[in-house]
Amino acid sequence: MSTTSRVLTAAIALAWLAPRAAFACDEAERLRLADEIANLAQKNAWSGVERKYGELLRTKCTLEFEQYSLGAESAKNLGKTYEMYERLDAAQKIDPQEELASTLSQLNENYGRVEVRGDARRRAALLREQMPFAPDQRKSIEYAQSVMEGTGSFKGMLPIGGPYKVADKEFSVEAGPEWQEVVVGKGKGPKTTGGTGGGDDFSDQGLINWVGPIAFIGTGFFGSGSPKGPIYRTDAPDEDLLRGPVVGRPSDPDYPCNGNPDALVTDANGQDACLPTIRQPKDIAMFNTPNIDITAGGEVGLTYRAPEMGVAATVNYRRMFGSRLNQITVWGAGVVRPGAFRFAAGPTWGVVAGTATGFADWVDEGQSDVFREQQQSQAEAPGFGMGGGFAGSAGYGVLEIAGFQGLVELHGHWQRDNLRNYSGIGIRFGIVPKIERFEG
Amino acid sequence: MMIRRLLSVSLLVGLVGTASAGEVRFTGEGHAYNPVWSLDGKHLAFEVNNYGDRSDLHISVVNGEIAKDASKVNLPGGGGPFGGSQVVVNPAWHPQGIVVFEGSNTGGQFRLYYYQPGGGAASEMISTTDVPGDITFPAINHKGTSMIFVADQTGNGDLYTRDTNTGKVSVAMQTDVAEMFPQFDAGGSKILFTRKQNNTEDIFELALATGAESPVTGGNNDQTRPNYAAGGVVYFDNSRDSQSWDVKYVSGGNAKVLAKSVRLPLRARPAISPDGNWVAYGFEDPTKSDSIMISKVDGSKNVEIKTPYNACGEPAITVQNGKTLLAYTALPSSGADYRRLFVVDITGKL
Repeated sequence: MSTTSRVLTAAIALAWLAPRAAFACDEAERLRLADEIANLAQKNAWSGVERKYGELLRTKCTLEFEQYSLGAESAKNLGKTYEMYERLDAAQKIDPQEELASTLSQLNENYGRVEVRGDARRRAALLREQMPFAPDQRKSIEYAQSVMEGTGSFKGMLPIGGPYKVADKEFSVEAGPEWQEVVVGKGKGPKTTGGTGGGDDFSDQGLINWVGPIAFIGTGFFGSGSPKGPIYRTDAPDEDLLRGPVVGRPSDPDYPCNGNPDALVTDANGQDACLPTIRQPKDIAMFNTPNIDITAGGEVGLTYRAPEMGVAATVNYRRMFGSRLNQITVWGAGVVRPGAFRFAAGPTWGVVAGTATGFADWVDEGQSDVFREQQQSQAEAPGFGMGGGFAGSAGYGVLEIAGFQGLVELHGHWQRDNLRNYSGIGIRFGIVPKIERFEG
Repeated sequence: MMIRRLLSVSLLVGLVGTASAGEVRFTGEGHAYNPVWSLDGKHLAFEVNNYGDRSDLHISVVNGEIAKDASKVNLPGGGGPFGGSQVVVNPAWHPQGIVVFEGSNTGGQFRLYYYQPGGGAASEMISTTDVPGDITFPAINHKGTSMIFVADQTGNGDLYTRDTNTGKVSVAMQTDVAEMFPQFDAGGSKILFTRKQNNTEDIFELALATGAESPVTGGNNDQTRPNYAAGGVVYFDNSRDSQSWDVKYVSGGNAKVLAKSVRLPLRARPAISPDGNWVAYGFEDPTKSDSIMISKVDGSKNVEIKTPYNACGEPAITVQNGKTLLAYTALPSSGADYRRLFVVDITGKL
């Protein structure tokens, strides 16, 4: 295995191991974030506390009482009442305190659990004619309204009573641990004008959620097994037929024509002859053929509900270092983007052209055994193939770059022409359009 | 003439026997002051002042004369055993059962906080970004759709309103002098308030829709802590003698004395019954201080509520499920260290 191959193998292994690392607790990061949260809380910078709390959760570490407490406080200040409840509940489990129990009990008495299931594309507004007096209850409703506006649905706690209205559904919230479900249709009301007044109130989203270019560069391996042979040239002209001593070889077990009766034909002179085979490169070993991979295209998001879905179209170029082969494919893919992940899969059509080294061992053009062995190992075999295939990728967003999401992704592809399969795997880094998601 | 008046007063005064009172117990030491009933009469908020480093707000759930042990309201950050001193005073109730009050942690600014009985710590009602500085004197209209308060961000006490539905805070009145004791009328369209100017405090009324202000009453010294009552306004007045306070009623510009030399509550307005027809008060006179007197605001009737205690004062009246309840504070005995809070059922006596 060459040095390049080793480096590539290590990179792919690293990419495979990286998600595993993402599921382990990052204790140093937890301590740093906990410190930052405490400082922000002292400054009443609750949005900052909430953001850092989210990062703290992503460390996958077990949180302490203080962190749950401050997380609850930030949720309270932002109107995220259910999140506040959950964090207080977690804090209470660590250190049962009378005041926490009392707050949890008060939340249960004054708020109810509500799940509004709406249409992410045609978002109904959550309305309440008379807002409650207490600012935290008011914030709770305002937060729910912002979630509805951002996603079309809401799951959380709302102050009891009402009435509330979403599209044509009017409901009152009742206290208790049960989730109250409100299913909202697409509705026929007018487009939203904002406000908390009566009447249907919708916010229509466009057909396209996101659109933008995508580009990747990476590396990988490419391989192709040689086709099963021998494959004879049935249309070979008379002068190409193999005759005399070259018709089969005495060393072959079933002389003549290498034991294949289908290859035995009669030439123009009525003599026995054998069909020659076509010329095909030998197999291309996957891990000996590293390549550079360049992809460009565009992506369009067509849905709003998570996980968001869309389509992508790309042109991909791969240059194989070991065999001087080139592959160009076009790819039409369905795309699913749950959270920071991106999965794409779909058909391809491509061309493989270039020169490989060595012929398949069944290539028989009447050459001598010595020459045949030489051809099989050293001769350059120019070739050209085209056909359809399939490709897929799985990526994870690692950073944001000026409105784009930077991804690392693993990909695999397969293509077949009439004779043989071409396949490859690799890792690449690139950008895709960033989805503007509601972040409460 | 004087004898005839005394006779008529004694006839009008209901000779009510010593009422049995339920004590509202609380933890900590201090004088109980300023009881304020929730609108449904089921909760009683009151201050406990140790005349040292703290004045706490306590809330008790009351059922008839039976009051549960009161629980203390903690300001944010003040709930721990080593929480600093806090001053929590002047509660006002919203129809939704939420109490709003002034609070200050360790000598800081007074801000408005709110608390729902049964919950954890109180929360700040109005952020400093909305209104900086001290904010005090919260009052809520009967429907709960608006709150008024005094803010001193300009250096003088100005009146601000907060709309419950929109959450917006607006200036209702801004002058070069201090306005205090704002209160909504029953319809929520007018605000009663006092203004301190040239060392004398007078009472005014503000029409919210037009911003027009009109004097209600004035005079020597202070006319203060006005409270809307049936057909007029009841207030405390020391124009007769700067050292003693009278309870007065004014209607259509005509003021009359309802009681003289009353015990001025620590910070409360005259205690008006929910129907607006009655006003309750205690006396400075030690010989009368074992009673709470309740007078009809038109002056036609007085009802004396005798108690077994001394120095009775700080009354508050409510109606709870058809029962009329009176809360008051008193010294349990002449040598007692602290004033305690009691609730007595006076149903049928008014």
